[in-house]
Amino acid sequence: MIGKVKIGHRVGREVNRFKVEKHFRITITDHRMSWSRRHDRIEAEARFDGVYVIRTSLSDIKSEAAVEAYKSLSKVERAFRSIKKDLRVRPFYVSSEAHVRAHVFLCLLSYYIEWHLRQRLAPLLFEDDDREAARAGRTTPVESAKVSPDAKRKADSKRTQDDFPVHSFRTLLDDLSSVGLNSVSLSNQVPSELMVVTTPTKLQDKAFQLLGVNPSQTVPIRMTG
Amino acid sequence: MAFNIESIPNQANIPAILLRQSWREGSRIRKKTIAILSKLPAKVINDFRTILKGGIAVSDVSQLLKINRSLHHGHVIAVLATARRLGLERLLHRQLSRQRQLAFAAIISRVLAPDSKLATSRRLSPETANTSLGALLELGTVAGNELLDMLDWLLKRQPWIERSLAKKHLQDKTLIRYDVTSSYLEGKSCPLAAFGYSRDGKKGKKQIIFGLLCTPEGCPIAVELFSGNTADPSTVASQVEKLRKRFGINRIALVGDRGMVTTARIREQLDPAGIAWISALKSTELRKLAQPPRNPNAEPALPPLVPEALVPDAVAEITSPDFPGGTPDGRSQSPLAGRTPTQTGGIVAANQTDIGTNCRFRSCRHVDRQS
Repeated sequence: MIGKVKIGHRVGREVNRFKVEKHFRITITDHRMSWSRRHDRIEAEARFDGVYVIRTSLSDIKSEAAVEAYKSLSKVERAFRSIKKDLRVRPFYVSSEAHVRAHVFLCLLSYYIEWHLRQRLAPLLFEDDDREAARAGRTTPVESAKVSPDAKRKADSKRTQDDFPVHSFRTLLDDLSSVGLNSVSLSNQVPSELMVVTTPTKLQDKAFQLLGVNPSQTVPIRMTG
Repeated sequence: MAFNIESIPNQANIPAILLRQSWREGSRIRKKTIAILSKLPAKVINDFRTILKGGIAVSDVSQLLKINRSLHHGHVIAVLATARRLGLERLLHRQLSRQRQLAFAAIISRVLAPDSKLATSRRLSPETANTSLGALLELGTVAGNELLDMLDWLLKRQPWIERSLAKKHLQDKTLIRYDVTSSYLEGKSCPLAAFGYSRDGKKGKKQIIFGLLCTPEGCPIAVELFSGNTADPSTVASQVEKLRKRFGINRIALVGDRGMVTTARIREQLDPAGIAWISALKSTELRKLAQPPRNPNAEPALPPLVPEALVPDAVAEITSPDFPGGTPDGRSQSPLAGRTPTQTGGIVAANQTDIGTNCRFRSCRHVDRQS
């Protein structure tokens, strides 16, 4: 590559990509470019490695609680992930401002249900259902978060405590969906329609139990069409 | 006249099984044997009996039952029961109406299988349903346009619903989490859509921004949409408004990241509204703390922050006049700040004195990231 401008453009592309130009001294001539580290600046920056400062106007909470509160912002990120991936906020399929606003609000309400479902179904999911033990695993909230021994075992063996296969939220719902509602009649007896619910598997039974649902409850509905 | 199968004892031999016809003549009952069934297998004889009693016999068991229709049901009752336990129907509207039922169904349907409005209407209508949801809610035929009308209805209900959620889940002193994200749109016709900084790194698409308020546990309370080119901090004002005026919750604290709850937002929105906050310092602000004080004559002089003096993985408390919270005179107006801050432990804190600001800094050194 020849020419100060050409080399400059190419270097500029990398500089924009990595965003660490301030730590390098770059010289470009017509035929070559050279660089060296700016040790004074690197050291000045390294002094603050791992240091972060939480500020608050609250004077009556403990420092640890403030750090924990700030770190728990990840729960909002978690909500975003669910709304975007699991509840598929996109594609919107609507385009007017009012409809887009309402659609996102609808997704929020769906997540509201999903959040409560996840809480109740936690023993069957990869979710950490023993937060207390997880919290006890570290001395200060500054340390990185730990998983509880229970959750670790669940993740390693892919089996729950009751020896069920561990599900994700979506696969558990899919599993439950195989419990069907069937309209059944005896072949040559005309007015004999019955509503029969599939007998749940043990895992499905456990899920219904966690949610306080009785699947075999008679369903007084009419399936027409 | 009646037919029946009789078993006639035959001393030591096996009993005789006879198909007999019986009728009445005056007071007498007359019988006539029509066939001897003794040689037939017991099962066939039993089937004969069943048929004579008005039952049915089939040549093939698989023909016995006819399944008219099967719908996915298990996940529907799981989600429906949870939604009902949360009182979601009543949260939507006190009165039962078609719109309320449609909104309720659409919300549940999105948990079960997120899809477009038209697809959702297909899933709910009896003719095309694949789950029992529509039948359980007795919706009847649902048209795609009905769901669009429902969206208009839902938007009008949004402030009311969010206020109910806030009342249910937020108490005094709750530390509310707030953050925003972006989501891109394929089309260009939405007035909210605009080119802006994409939080997902999506290029070349118009996007919208939405901000979410959550409880400390992560339960969602409220969402608000902004034009796609809105910067994080500029969304704070409307949230402050929402918390103070619409939810009517006074003693509340907002937790936002350093890019959201910035010094300017604290000064201009949160402090005037009296909302307490937890945020973090940006790296430039952090460096400012380590610089010698700009005005060395200030009393008492504060030594700069020495990052090396911080204990790894521990929390230290510091205060600094450079980043005050509350009002300019340093007195607390924050409704949660019940008492003046006390200086506790920490190496940095030990070197510093409280100069009357109500702002405290928590400084931590993280051992994992130490170079």
